[in-house]
Amino acid sequence: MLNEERFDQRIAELPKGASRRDHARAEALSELSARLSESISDVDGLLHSVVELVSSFLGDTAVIRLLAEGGSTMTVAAVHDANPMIAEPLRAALEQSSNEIATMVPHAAVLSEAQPIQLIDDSFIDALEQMPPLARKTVQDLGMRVALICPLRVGGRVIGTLGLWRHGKDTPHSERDRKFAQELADRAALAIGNARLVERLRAEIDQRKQNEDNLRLTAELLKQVDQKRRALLEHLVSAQEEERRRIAVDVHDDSIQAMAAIGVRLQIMRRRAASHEMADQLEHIEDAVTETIARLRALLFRLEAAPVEQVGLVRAIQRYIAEVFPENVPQTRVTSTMTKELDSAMHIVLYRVAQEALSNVLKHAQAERVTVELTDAVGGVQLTVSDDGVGFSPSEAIRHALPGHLGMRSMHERAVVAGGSLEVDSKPHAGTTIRCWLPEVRV
Amino acid sequence: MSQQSYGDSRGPTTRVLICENDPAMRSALADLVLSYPALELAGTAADPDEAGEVARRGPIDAALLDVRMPKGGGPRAARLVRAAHPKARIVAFSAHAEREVVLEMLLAGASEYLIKGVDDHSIADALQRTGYGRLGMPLMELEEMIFALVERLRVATGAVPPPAPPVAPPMEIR
Repeated sequence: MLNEERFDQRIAELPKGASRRDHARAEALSELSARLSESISDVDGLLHSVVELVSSFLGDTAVIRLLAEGGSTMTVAAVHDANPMIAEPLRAALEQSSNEIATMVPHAAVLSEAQPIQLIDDSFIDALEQMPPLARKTVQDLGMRVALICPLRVGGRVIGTLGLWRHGKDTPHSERDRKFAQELADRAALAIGNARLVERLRAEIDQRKQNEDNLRLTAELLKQVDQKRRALLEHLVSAQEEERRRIAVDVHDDSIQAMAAIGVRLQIMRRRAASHEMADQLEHIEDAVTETIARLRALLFRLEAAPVEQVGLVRAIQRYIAEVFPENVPQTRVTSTMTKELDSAMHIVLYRVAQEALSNVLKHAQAERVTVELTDAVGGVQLTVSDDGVGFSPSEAIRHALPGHLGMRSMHERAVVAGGSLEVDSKPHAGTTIRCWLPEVRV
Repeated sequence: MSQQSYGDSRGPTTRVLICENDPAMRSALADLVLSYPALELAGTAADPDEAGEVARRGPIDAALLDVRMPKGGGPRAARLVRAAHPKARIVAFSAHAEREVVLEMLLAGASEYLIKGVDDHSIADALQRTGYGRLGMPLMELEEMIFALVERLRVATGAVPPPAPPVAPPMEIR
């Protein structure tokens, strides 16, 4: 904002008995000052007021140039003369000329010294020679021979110039004119500085607001994405469970039934067998059928719905071990110190991963001891299944597509889809440890 | 065991109804019944409705019922047979023993729950009231069923609940 007090003080400082012209100037300054404080953001309008005012008081053509960003060029911001026949060609010439400060010697001096410079006689001719041809020709055609260039100063910096190009007379600007012009130039500069500051603050506030909005939006989006991911996971897990259930029904209704029917018939045949030899043969087949049924039943157990909801994770895993592992071989221990909340989909994922890991142990590890641990972990929970069996080289397993690796991949996929991770730590003859981390539910 | 000991019929034969929706198993079971002189085949059925019809037609001493079947499964077949012959012995015969299903069959009147793959003598025993009442469940599942039953009893009788939930072992996470 402009300093009104300072301005009033300046009026008070005017010499006593000053001419009417002085009063008019003071009034003009006062009016401009009022405008400046009103139209804080209308810089263009303000600059036009300044050139109009100074031009009408001094009779010169007034030109405001502003230093462009970067500081190596100036742009023409406002041109005014009461006579458009003068203002227009000058504006056109200036707009078409180079704006490089290096080529504008008087301007460069004003910018660096922050003091007004009067161009007259030799100094005017010098300046004229530095001008681009079109500008030079126009200035000559308009019969200009005197000019005053004032710096636009604000906060210790020069941000542009106010040029007063005299035509119709060759007298230099009086001390009073110079003071008046410089006063206007400084006021204009202050207003521009304020307007720029306001604009920068406004832009900053807008930017901050936008950042906040973006942040809120991003947070909202993240939440939505997380919810969607959870819904998807739930959907996926239930689809997988449904698929397994269907396969289990097929195994139950089809494969086991058919084998069991064969078993019943073999038993009848054996009882009626003509010879002991035949009976023995039939018994062998019967044993094979019984074994097949047992395997199918184990498959059924692996396929059937995870009983996690009914009996809890630990019990469900213990039950799986009891069903699938031969009695006490290997020794197993299932523990949980998990306290974090998990939704049912996550429970099922943990159960299925444990199931797969244990199934691998049974098939390949030749282990004596297996431990299953459920623990709290950073940001979630961890399932650890370790055995003291023969182990394997994970890279070899991938390269040679060793049996059981399919299960390894499905475990990995389950963990990743649930937003978690799975790592396998194994070396030949050094056992295997599988760690599965899953994120907890955040509300 | 020699076959003669099962071939002899001492006393009246046991009239058996077979209800099994798998045709191969149904005919195998029918042959099994026919192979024991002590057993008599009263009829075969593919679902509970048919079982009900067979039961209404004549006397039934024992019914060998598949558990997983359409139209209400083993439990419904058991109730239909029992409705016609309250003293009929019900033997459940299934590929798998799940706690809830076993309980349901027992509540419907089954005296044994056999798992497919058992030897034929066990089936014959069960049908002839010489069986000893097997449930064919894995031990852990059996334990869980007992706890579930105790819970039901507790609720029904208003007994004081135990200090800790009986189903949950110390490491339980639920």
